[in-house]
Amino acid sequence: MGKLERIAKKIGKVRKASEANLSGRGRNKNHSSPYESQHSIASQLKEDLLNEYSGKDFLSETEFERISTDYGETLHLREAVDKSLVTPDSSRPEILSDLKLVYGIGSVREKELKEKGYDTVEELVDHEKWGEKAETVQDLFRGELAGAYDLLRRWKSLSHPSFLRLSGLFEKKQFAIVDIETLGLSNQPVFLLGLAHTGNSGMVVHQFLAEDLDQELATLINFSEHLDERELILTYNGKNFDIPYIERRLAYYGQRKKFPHPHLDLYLFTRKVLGHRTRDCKLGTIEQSVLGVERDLDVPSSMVPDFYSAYREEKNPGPLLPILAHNRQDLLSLADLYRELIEEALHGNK
Amino acid sequence: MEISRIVESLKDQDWYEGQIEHLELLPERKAEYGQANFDERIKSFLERKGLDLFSHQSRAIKLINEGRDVIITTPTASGKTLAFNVPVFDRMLNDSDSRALYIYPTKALSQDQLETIKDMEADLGLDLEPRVYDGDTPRDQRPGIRKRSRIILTNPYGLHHYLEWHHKWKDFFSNLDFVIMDEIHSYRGVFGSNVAMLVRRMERIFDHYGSDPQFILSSATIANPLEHSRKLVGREFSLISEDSSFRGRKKFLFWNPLTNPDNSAHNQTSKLMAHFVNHDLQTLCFTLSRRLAELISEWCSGRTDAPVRAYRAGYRPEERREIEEGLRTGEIRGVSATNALELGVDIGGLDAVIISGYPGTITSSWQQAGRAGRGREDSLVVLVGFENPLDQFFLKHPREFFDREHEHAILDLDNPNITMGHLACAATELPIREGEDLRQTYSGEIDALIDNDVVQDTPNGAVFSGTYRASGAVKLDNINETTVKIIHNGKLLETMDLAQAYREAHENATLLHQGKTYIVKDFDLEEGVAEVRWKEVDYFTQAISESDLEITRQLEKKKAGDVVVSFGEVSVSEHYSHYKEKKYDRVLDVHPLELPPLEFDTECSWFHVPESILTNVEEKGLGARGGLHAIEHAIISLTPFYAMCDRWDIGGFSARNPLEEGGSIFIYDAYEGGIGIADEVYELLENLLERTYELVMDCDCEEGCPSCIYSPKCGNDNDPLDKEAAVYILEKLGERFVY
Repeated sequence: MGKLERIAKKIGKVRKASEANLSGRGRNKNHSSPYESQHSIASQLKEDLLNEYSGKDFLSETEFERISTDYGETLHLREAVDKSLVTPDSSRPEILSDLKLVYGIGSVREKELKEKGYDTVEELVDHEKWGEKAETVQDLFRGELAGAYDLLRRWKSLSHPSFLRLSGLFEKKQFAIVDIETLGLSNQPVFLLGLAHTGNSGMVVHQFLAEDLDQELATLINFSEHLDERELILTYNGKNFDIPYIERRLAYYGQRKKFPHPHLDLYLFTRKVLGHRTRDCKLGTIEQSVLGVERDLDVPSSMVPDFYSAYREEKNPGPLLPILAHNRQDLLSLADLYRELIEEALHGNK
Repeated sequence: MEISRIVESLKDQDWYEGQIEHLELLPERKAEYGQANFDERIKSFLERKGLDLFSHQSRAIKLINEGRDVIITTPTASGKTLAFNVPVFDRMLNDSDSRALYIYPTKALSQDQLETIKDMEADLGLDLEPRVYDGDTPRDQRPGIRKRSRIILTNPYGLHHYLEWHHKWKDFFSNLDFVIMDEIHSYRGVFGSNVAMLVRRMERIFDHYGSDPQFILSSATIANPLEHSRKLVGREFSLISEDSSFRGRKKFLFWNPLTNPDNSAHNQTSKLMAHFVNHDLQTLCFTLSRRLAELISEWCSGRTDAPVRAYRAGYRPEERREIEEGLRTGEIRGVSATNALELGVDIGGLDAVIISGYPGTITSSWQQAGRAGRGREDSLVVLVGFENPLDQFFLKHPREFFDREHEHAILDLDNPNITMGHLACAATELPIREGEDLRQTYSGEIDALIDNDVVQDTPNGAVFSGTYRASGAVKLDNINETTVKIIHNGKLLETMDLAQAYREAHENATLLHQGKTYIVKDFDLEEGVAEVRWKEVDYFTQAISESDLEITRQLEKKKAGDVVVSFGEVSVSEHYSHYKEKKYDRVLDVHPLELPPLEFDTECSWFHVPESILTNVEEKGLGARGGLHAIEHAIISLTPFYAMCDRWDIGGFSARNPLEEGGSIFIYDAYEGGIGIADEVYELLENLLERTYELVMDCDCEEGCPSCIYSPKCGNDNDPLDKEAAVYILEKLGERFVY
């Protein structure tokens, strides 16, 4: 038994080694100091929280509720927030003024058609040659907008302003802002999934939390059910990270679910529209330089796994609290960033 | 000229002094042919290529068609590849969804075999998009390969990291009908055990996607092919081992360079090679090190006008391919290579093979010898025995070589050092569910992982709970991952691992690459870069190191007779303190080196020699340190017989302890963390010491010789050594051990 213990500990040491690498990424000594100071402030925060919340119970410290699902128990928090989601006041004709949405029409034909007075796809429905195809496009924009999204995807890059315009056609209530917290970047468990949407007044923030890793599947399922009620996903880098990550974790448990929702990844727009104004496109940087949000006592993303591990190992809710706050702030910042991007991309250039 | 006349003409050379110890004639063998059923299109493919199936190939095809898992162990150039490609392509022709995964031990082999597969694909008019998928595959091409390629070639190192992304391989894995694993004799020891665990991880993923592919394995000849296959894959296999292909007559020469002491073994090797090349024999010479591959080709080039090249790991792929092609077309007349050319790279048959130094295993020897033989022609193999007991033993006892059983390939699936890391990986790939084979076989290991929060037990199975990547906790082999880039004029010349760089890329070292000599101008350890300049000099350098060893933890202890034998963890450091400039065998100069020691932790077995014995030794006027050192060398020289390893896999250390507390001899694994050889030595030490005693005692030499206590890899230049002291100590230990 002693031997197996020893070897298991050796495997666990990989974590320590990789963490040491992160903080000591240090041949270029000049660059490491901001990271290191952030790291040590966060470590201090963790220690303080562990002291402060020693012996306390998570559920009595927060508004989370324990709920039962077919897949076991999980935690859920629903919080109303006095904040509104601003969406573009797009109109169908405005988007459909792009005749190139019709298969076969390029810039040259579009110009010719516009000169003949066909200003929108809707007007083109009566055209002898293009009418039938134009009607298909028109129907997509009148029906469920997922079809319109797919059509746009065929022709436009995901950072094209058309997607921002299209999002304006969705009802506000259909938006789901999503952000997750995980133990790693590849195939480690996800333990917190945040989802914000517009409520009857203001916004509602949901947080789906795995109390421990044995609740991961129940948490994923509970989150998925809430996400399925919405029609449009809004994330920051979720196209590459959050959504595939969630799908991978579901598949890990044999739940082969894909989220078909149209997806607005604000990271892509930010890079294009605001990138020149900031030193990088991390959400934290954008918050400071564009949105004017200052977070106090934040846990840096790279230390989120460490905080959650500390919570699990010490059975102490302290280190979990800043992660929840971090996730909540990410969701709310996305609402602000969305508004900012609409200003910049759709109105700024006019 | 005929082979036998060329061999005779060796005796007329002024450097010939009776080196031929033995000449073995291997007779011709007639081919036998067979029939098998398969698609008409494959039949006409074989006809177009003028291929008749040998009976071992047809039997393999029949067994594969029956759905059996098959292991083929016929020698190099007997048509193994065709035996499994025929049934695979037969399936591909008739099932448009079917997929096959080919696993090779090296990247170079995957590339080589891809060409063969592409030829067959093109000839059959199929569109399978066969592709290599490994660390060199550009990221943007990977999704397309996973989706469209019906044949993918890869290696275990890559698979180890790809498996956790199995969702991306769903289409491929769901339709997988065949897994081909070539050269499985290289999957032995620790590396092989890691691959066996990897196979088990693959199998549970295949199962997850509802596929159950057939396994087809191939191997060089080993003693235990069925057992090895079963342990590697966890299934029962059918064996094809009878080679029914044609084999021409072969002359196998044993060459003892010691009879001409004025010429080193390496020097004589290059003369032999030049002699053969000059007599129009296309010759492949296998050497034991990268440096020797370079030196021998260089020295040989000085003795012939024919194109002669070196071939070794570290070359860029395009350099390697050019040499392979040159060998196939016959343009290149001689190549001196490391064992990088031992595996199935397609270079055609050669007229002559020189095995310069016993490669450590019978299996390797025959693999290398198998490169000789072209069509109906006679061929020649020369084993140049080195100045070490193993080589000398074979030269003096040829029957021991020719009649000796091939080595057993040993796998250890019960070694938690190996299995537990893979269990963590498996839990990352899919939860390890109650009732799964893995869970039942390794319940103790999984419990330990749960207790230490590497995985967490959940209602859905054991789930990986780390914040790191489990695959990072497992290394399939012990190749040092720290690499040093050799830069010439701002361009990458080659790469080598750190230990090699200490020997070959320290400041002012001569570095040989493709027959050119470079001098290392600057060795930046921190950045892992060595800058070299091209400069033809007539010397080469050799770094000299001293080792130190510190016991960090004693894990086990036993008494054998009166002698205490221990096993535990040690820290070994290698300090490269100076280097020599040499011309051929002559030392021109010695310079100091300033390098921090290379340190690693490993496992070790050691025993104590009582003070009373050593005091007696000294009273007789003999050297106690020399005696201990001699025993250490002799044990190491014999260890390859006991654990399937190379002499270079283990290290030794001996010391006369201060304060008259006797002496100690240490045998350790020359790999970080240990690989189980020292553990084996601990178990077998009595037996091993008895054989060591016989070896040293029975040797005819006076004060020690290369055949008993001289080591070709000694960091201390075989100094001090005292044979008489060694015999005395071994004899006295024998009384205590009762051997």
